[in-house]
Amino acid sequence: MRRLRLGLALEAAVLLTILAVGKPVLVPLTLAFYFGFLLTPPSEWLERVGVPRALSLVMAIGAALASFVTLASVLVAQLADLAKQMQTYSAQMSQKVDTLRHGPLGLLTSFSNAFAELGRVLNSQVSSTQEGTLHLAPEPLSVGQQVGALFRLLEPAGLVGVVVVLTIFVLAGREDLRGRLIQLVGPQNVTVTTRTIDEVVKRISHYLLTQSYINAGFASVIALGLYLIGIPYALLWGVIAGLLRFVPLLGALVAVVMPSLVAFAIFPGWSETLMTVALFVAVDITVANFIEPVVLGRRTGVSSLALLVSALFWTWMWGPVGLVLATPLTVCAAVIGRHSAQLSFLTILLGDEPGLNAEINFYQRVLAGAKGDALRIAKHRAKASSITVALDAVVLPAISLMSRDHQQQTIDDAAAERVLTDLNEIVTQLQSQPPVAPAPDSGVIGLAAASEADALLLRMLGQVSPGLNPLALRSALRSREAAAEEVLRHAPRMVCITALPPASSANARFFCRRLRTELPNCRILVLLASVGDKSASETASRLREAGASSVVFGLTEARDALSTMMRGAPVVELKAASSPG
Amino acid sequence: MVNEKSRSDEAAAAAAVKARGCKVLVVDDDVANRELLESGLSDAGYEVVTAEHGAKAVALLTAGLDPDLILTDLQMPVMSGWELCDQLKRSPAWRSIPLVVLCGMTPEQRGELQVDDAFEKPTDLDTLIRRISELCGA
Repeated sequence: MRRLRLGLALEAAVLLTILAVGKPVLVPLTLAFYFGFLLTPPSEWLERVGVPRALSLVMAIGAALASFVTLASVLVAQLADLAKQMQTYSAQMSQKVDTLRHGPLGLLTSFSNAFAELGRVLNSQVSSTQEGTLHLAPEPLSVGQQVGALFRLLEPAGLVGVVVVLTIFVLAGREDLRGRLIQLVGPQNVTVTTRTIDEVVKRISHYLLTQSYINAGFASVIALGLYLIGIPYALLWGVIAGLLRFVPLLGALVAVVMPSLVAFAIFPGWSETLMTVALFVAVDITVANFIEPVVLGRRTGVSSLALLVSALFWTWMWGPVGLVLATPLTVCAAVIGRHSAQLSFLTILLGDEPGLNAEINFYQRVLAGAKGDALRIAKHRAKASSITVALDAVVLPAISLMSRDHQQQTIDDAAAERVLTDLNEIVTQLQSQPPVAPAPDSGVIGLAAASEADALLLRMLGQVSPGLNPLALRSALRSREAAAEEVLRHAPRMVCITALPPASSANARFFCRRLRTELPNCRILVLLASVGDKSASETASRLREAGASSVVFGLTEARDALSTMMRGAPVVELKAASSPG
Repeated sequence: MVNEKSRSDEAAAAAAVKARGCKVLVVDDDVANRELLESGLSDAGYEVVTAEHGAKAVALLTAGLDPDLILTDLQMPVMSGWELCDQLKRSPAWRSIPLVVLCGMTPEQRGELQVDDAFEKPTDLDTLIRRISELCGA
């Protein structure tokens, strides 16, 4: 185990090192795939309407580049202008803060200072861009420094160029790439690989396109709203808000800070600031609660927490580019986990499915002594469907799991007893109506094969089948021979035995044989609660061999079988019961 | 005489049919005893699984063997019948399985071990099988 943990730690360390050291190569490559996913749907649409592939690529990439360049130039111009105005804004803000300094809003002072600092930084950067690096340098730069500065300036342009070229290759050779990937994974895994690639492409393309449209709409509404309020650089704030919205949960919160501070700095009153905040809150709540659930649904299949953690991780690893790539990378990991047994932990960690399914969650809550939580789960299930389904889907598996744990001595007698008591109370509280008193001459008898858990199972069956007379004769309280004698004395037309294998299997078979011998026409139904038991079919087969008319595995099935058998069961004439001795 | 024998054969055949599907775990270190019990029970229609000591029996049960009855000797190497009985009665999974011991015991000892029955050695095979049949409900 220790060696395994060391191995995992080593693998994680190697992976992190590759991601950190390989950043110059991996970032453009990942960005190319990112844009490939983004531009595949429009490119495919163009091909479908008859545009040749080469031309469709040029059109898709050209349109994307043109939009990028236009937007970037407008944003750079607005940013440069904002930087010039920063000193003015910070002075205005300081004046405003001075009037509040003695009030309860001392925090604003630090905001003002931070704002002034940001203004200074932006100013220095803009002047360096506008007037040249040499102007700021007190002494002439050496040749090496000049070459270095040139490379630093060329680096972003080079990155854009590399990404554009790679994107063209990804888009042009997407079928070829798919073939190579399948070849790499192995032809024997062709189905799994194809399904994984299809799902990754589908989910990410859908997610990126839909989220991009939603965020573009969000940015437009924010920009328009800010413009109407009178906030300068409305387009800049709108675009920043749209980009930040890719960061789950926190993006919109961060986006509201800058325009609110500008509003605070330039307007004499509070109304514009409050309107700015209200605009962000209203638009974000509308988008998050009404538009996204309808348009986006659960398309990513990734939990919000996973997206947030992923955003933190990738930003730490690759900076702002990592922030943009965080969601697609997380979706990729979750989808790959869904199709690969070895990597299924990724889906469990990142997926939006609940960590535990309802039955395990219910049992875990009962085991932890949180009876209230367990009852809530059962009631929720009962409300969504019915009490029978709730008993069948969560309580019966819990009894089965408890019985298994008790038999394997994972839980001791005291814990098993406490769990059973809690389950009994939950079953009582689930009952919406008072129990129907069974008809004494119904001719149907319930028999718990051995344990208290079998008795609870029988009680549940009685709850969903009012015609059952649950005698709950348990050999734990008296000998099974005596229990069998008592059943025989009632000369039933039908007997329903509840049993939790393997502990109660021998007793259940004993009752089947005895009843079959003494009452050949009696119908014997066995409810075998064996969730996840691989030998359940063998146990059922042995019970049939011992004389069971029918063996069922769930309450609903048992109730239906009971009902059918009661309608068709002939009246049994009691044979003279021979003495067991 | 012939009729009597024929009736006896018919009864034995009927009993064998009833016992079909009944699985008995025989635990005894004596090979001759084991073979005798295995042969007698098989003839009576039982499915027989054998173990030479208690530890082997526990291993079989742990591996998923689900017998209708366990028939055990008491004095055995590795794990005695007493230890086996104790372990079976302590386990929630096995405590309901009927237990018959092949060794003379006082009623007090029998009560302590919580066994369903005990037989002196040498045991009358017919009597033993009849009791096993009752305990299995056959």
